Amino acid sequence: MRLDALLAAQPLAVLATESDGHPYSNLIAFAADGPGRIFFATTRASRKWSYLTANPRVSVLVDDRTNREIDFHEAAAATGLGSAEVCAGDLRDGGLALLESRHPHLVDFLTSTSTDIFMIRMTDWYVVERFQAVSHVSVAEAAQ
Amino acid sequence: MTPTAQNPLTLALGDAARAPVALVGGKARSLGRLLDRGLPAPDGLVITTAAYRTFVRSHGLAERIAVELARKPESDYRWEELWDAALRIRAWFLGNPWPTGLREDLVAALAGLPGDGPVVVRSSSPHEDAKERSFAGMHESVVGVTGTERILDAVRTVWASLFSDRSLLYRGELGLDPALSAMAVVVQPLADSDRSGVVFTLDPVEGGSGALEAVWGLGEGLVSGQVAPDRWRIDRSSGHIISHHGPEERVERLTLLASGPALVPVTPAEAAAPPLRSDEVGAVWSLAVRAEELFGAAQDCEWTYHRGAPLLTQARPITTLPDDTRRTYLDLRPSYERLARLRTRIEDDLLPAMSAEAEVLAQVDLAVLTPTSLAAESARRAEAVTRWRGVYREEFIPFAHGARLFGRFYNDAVRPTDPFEFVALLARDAAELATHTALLAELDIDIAGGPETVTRRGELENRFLDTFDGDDHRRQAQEMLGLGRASWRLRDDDNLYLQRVEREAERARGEVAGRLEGGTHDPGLEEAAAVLAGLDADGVDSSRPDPSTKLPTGVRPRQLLGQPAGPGLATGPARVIASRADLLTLQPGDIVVADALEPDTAAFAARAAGIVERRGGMLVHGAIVAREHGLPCVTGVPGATTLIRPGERLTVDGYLGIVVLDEV
Repeated sequence: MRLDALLAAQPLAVLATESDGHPYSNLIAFAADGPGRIFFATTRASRKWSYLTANPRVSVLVDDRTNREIDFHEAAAATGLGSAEVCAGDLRDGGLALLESRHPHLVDFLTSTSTDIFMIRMTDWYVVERFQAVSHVSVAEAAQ
Repeated sequence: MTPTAQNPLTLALGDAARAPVALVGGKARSLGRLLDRGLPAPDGLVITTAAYRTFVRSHGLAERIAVELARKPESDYRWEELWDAALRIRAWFLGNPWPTGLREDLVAALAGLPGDGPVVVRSSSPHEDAKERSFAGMHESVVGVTGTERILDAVRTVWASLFSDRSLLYRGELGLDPALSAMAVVVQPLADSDRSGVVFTLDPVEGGSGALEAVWGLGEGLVSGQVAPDRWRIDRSSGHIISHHGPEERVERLTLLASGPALVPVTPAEAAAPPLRSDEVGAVWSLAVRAEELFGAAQDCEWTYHRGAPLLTQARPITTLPDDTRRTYLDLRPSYERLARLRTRIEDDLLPAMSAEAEVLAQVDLAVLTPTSLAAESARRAEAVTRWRGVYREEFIPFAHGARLFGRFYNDAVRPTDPFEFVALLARDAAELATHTALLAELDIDIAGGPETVTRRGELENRFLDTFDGDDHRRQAQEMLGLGRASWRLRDDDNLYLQRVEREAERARGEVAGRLEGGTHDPGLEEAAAVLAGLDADGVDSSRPDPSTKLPTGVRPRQLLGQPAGPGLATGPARVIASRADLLTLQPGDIVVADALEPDTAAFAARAAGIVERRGGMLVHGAIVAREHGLPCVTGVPGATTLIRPGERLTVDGYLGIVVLDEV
């Protein structure tokens, strides 16, 4: 089970949001401080910002595929479920610092006045390895 | 390597002398060098690794194989599962069409071979390092193939043998990697020969001297261990014969018949004389010495006599075999003849003898014996159990190769989409199942009320036999099927026969324990109790216990991977089996989840809706029952009984080899 390794090593994740019953997905630069919390940034003008404020329930996909054939036996992918919220105060400062250390080249974007830092509280992960081996991680149980 | 001017699909064997080993493999390169130096060797064709890669790439086989081998950690695969994997891989090589162009190029190159007589198709591995050589014989050769289509199939068979069960067993040591490894193939006319053998310029066993071995007929008879050779020791400095030892008797020779190579009795003249005269031994020896000079190292050569003169058919540096317990599997290399002899011995001698002995033991009234007699009787029973367990391991278990041998034969003939279709053809008919049920009843195991057997036996049998033309081929197919069925039956029944003897030891154990508990003090009985108790540790099915599979807190399996061992899809509550008692309360619709089902317990599992087993393989008892009763079955699931909770709802996908756990 490679969830911790994926969250620590991967720079990008797919974020799925929803609007009017229609799913919408895009790539985000993220940073996680464990399986329970994922931080990312977006401008308040973005489509995902408006979708998230209307419906905070999201799914994310983190994986280590190389887009080659060997991925089928070598790659792992984790599908996560959770709820996103805009961070403020200490939480925002901590999330920003984490994102800056993971993505130093994004400093202008991360610190822009128009950018919000989001945190997703993760509840569940489904980790797929070796093509078809799947494990479920309950974040609340794992934290005990 | 992609085919280009530098990396052609084929090369004349003579040109292989200067080609890279990565393109032509070690065997082709050595043969090329022999030809290049004017040593007598059959000329032929090399089908290079570029051809292999073209085929593999066109069907995505590299990743397909990698996925097959990544279903669980490497160390969790049993040899039986690797054999199953090798059979699947072989079916992919033989069942996929030739990509456009490749076939035409190979056909054109094959047309350039001299004559249209039978050929030999041999592996030529590019990984010719010392390790690979010491596992020599893990790749396949096909001897005596005639006709372009059959030769092309033989080429694919040799390609597939890059992933033979033997190669897969050693894949770590060999660095076998589906994405990188490749195989070249040598195609040579089969020299018309009645004498063949091997020659070592330095004897790997005795050292100091050289050694030469010869048999009547084709050399494969010797190499495969089917024909015992005459053996000469040769003085390295003078080339003189030091000694000659004939085999106990010269019985058979491997000869090419229309149906392929077969063992036939030698003529009286051949039985009476060694295959080579002294001067002919000298002629073969001097060729081997020339090969040693050419390669600058002691050589292990194969040779054959062709039109009055020796030819070298292979030369490689000498290595000694590694001392490795896993080799026992490899020594069980099945041949029809060997297994047919084993079948006769098991059916005509061993099983009747075992039953008779159990019968005799059952007649003894233990209660009336004096302590001394009871101690002696107990020792006799312990000895019988140990002896028959030895027979079980040495003779019954190897006989399981009969089903495997048939499986390959069936797949080669029928080319089914499902490489394990043959299992349905081996499944027992109503009469055979009745015998099995009677055996169980004798052990007080009642499986009345189990589902009726569902098999496609008749339909498949006709389809199988119809693929053979001519009486000879058809008879061979029928014999092979008979062997496969006998092997399949025994796989489930041998254990029950053995249990009869074990039950007699158990009876003595009960009597001895009763007397000791009743206050009898007798050193003889105490010793007998200890000896009988010692039998527990040595059962034939004491399979390796599952290393306890523990997941971190909060982590649960959602989907477990195993092998598809019985097609079908079923959902139901998990009945996790810890003992036979758990099976007695089995409800229709339950999914049996077991570590390793034995024949007596597997019979109960026939009532379930599906079977999940930790022990892997297509021929484990759970899979046999599942196939016979049409139940979805997944085997080889690590940690099945610890990861799956009793009562949990499961879906068994017996097509894909997946177990899906419902979420609570």
